[in-house]
Amino acid sequence: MTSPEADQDGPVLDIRDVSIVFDTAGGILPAVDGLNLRVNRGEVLGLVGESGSGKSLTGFAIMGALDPPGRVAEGQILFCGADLTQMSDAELRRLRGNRLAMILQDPMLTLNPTLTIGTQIIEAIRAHRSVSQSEARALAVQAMQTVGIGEPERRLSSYPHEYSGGMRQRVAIAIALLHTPDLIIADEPTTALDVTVQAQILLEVRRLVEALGSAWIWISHDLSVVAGLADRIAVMYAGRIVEEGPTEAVLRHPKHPYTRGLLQSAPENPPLDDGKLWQIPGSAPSLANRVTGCRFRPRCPRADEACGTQPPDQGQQHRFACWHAYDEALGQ
Amino acid sequence: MFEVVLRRLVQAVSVVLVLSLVSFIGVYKIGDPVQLLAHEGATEQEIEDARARLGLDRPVHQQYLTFVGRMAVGDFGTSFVSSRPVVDVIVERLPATIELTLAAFLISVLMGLPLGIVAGLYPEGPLARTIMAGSILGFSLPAFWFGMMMIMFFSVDLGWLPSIGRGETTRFLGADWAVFSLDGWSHLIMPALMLSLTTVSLVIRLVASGMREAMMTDYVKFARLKGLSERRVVLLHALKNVMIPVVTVLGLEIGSLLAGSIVTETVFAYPGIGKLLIDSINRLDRPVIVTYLILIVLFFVVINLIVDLIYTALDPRVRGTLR
Amino acid sequence: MSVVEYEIDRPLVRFWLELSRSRLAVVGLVSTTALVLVAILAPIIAPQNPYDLTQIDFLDGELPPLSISPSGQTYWLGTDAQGRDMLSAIIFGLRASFTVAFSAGALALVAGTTLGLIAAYARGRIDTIVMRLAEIQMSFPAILLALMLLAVFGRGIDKTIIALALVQWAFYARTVRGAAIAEREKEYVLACRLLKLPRWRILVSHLLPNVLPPLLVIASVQLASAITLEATLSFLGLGLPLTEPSLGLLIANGFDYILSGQGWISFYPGVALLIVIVSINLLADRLREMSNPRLKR
Repeated sequence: MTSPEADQDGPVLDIRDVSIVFDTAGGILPAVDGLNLRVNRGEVLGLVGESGSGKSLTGFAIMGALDPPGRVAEGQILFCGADLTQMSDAELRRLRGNRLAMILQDPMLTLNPTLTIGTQIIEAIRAHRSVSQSEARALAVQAMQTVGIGEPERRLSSYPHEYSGGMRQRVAIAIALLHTPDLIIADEPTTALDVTVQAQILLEVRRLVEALGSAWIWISHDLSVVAGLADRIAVMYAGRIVEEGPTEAVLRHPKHPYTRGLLQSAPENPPLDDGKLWQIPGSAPSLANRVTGCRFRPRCPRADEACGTQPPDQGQQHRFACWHAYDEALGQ
Repeated sequence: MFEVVLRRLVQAVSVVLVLSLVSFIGVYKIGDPVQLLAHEGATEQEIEDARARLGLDRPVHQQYLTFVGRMAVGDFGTSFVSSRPVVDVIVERLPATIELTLAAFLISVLMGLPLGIVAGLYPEGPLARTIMAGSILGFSLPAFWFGMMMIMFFSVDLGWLPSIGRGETTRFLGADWAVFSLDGWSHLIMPALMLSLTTVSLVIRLVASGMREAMMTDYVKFARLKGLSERRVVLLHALKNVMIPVVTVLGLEIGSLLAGSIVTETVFAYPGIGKLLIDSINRLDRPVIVTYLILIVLFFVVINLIVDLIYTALDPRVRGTLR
Repeated sequence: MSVVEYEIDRPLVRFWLELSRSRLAVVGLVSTTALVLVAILAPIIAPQNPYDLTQIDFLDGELPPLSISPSGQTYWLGTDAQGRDMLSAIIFGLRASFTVAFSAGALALVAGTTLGLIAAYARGRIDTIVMRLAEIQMSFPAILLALMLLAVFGRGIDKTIIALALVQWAFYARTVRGAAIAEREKEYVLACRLLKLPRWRILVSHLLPNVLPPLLVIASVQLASAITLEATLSFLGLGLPLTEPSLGLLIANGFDYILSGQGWISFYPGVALLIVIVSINLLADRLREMSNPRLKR
């Protein structure tokens, strides 16, 4: 097998026909299927979908950290050319936190309440680099400065509960960036924060994206958050990618009715006559309730008999899976 | 912090005083020890004399006040049965109970922790199911019957272990200890196992359910995502959080072990203070009973206080609020 | 494909459906019910009345299990030193154990519930006193308190029942008080007051459904604990009198014979005791799971 070092020119991440399933007492439940996704070096990919669409699962699958009973049932996840699904636990562990990093949603829950911030940063440094305790401490101070935490020396010996939510998320980001990974997966890292803190963190991240040259997958349920950050956007619905392309193209010329629905229901849009925001009718299906064919069919204004079969992926730079894709730009 | 300790101490002293009064009056009502102690042909006069000598002819409140006054200076009176100072009688029996309780405590921790961790990490596995079934059985087994069955099996049928007493003891620091000889250990092992039965089961359950919950938390996931070894994730990140409630419970369990030693020592005719209490109840040796009760109440109060302090030291969130 | 979730409005049916999701709990329920029935019907099912000296043949003493007496009676579990059939003794012992445990449980339930309600509604000083007492009681192991009480009271069925109730009331009191205080703050209680509905009706109709599940859990756990406690106290010579042997006393009586190789005299009563407690605990475990939404799966 090829080591992740071999391929320096191809995409950082190439997911090929991956499906993720849950083994349950009642049989195997597919959560994500036919997933194809590429992330190039230094690129930010926005992965957008409602909760339950499989976007977080995809993130954990890339990290090789799916909680049982979830598992990758088929397909390849090529990281710098090497298949992550074929790696041993030890090989994966060497990559995790080192060349592949992940930031979780709720900063209040991410850090261990019984260990100091210093301990939690230093152990992450020493997991991948053989440095002395004092060198690691110096690196930890540096890492905290990078994400804009003041008085890092003193704050290293604090416990998470002495930090605000925004500060904790900065620490989590600092930990993810420690070894300048090739790919960082950010699983809605600003959703749990106040709006003002959210804006600060986003600003910080935008600076870091440019400074570090790492590739990012930014998972979010909010297209507007991703719009200002991502080079490309992929939209997931019920375990499948329904549309994927350059940010501009997806936002201006959304092909898939679901993407259109998401954009139209964004809070920036003018409210309807009754003062409420427009919403996609119905709700996202649970794992056990998905229909065959196009899964958006029950909620789609354009659905007909053709949608009973799964539409193939169409397009090159701007991919979509729909029998009745829109050609015109949004708002026309 | 200091204020908290002080408040707890005042509470503790009042609990001890109230319970000493209750137990004193209670024990006073048990029966007339003189009737029990006097030899068959004792005359009315002899009984009256004995009663006066023991101070039993005075009204109960006077007896209690005398008792509290003496207690304050460390004098707990004289045993009716052995005519020796109660403190001496109890102190001489104390090492046996200390050994027994500590041994049971160690067994609980050394068996309960690893079994609980394994059961919590792989809750669906056959090993975990066996461990959890064992812990339900351990909760349900009446401890005294478990002890008797051990005697039946290991002492009577197999003849491996002695069933009675402490065996050979060695003098150390002014007390007799059994743990310095193999014979002493062979006498200690079955009583310690019997005594630890419930606590082991309790620790297993607590650790297993705590571990299960901890392994699903985000901070454990994040620790894994950092690339830490599974060992460090489980034994540091998960276990440290699990241990906070476990240490609290373990501290309180020391008290339960001490109470349980009364039963254990009776089953194995083990000469500790628990056996002393049962013997004293049967012989109406009031001073010994009251002293035992007061000491044990005192012990509980102290244990509760220490456990609170340890809990505070362990959990940084609680520690922060007390600063 | 899809899971149909529908509300069942008959509480007993819903309770059973939920309980029966655990096979072990069903085993526990069936077994507990059977044991209670055996205890109730003891005089009818037991081969002999172990207290009736005319039915006991001293010459049949210390026979091992499955022995057949000269009079043709089979002693399935052997006999004790007095020639008493152990199976009958166990069945009657079960009756004694259950009688004590159920009576103590009922007494503790009534006393604890009453005190808890009084504490919740009287508030202030009464509340503090009741709860402080409960706190002190619960900070000591039950065996220690029960032992102290019986050392003072002396032996006897009634005294054992009272001692057990005294070490169990606090669990009920604390739960009821907590639920009552939570309930008191709710709006409909105020509404009821405005409508001048009597207080007890508020209590019965609104509080009861809320406290019943946790009380059921406590009652089941305490039942098992009362049986063990009584057995242990009787073993120590502080519980039931020798004339009415419970399972614990049967075990204690057999203790002396263990060393001489007649282990069955205390082995089988112990097995019976173990079966009783395991059965109740299996049921109690499931009840606890059901009342704790965090453990629900």
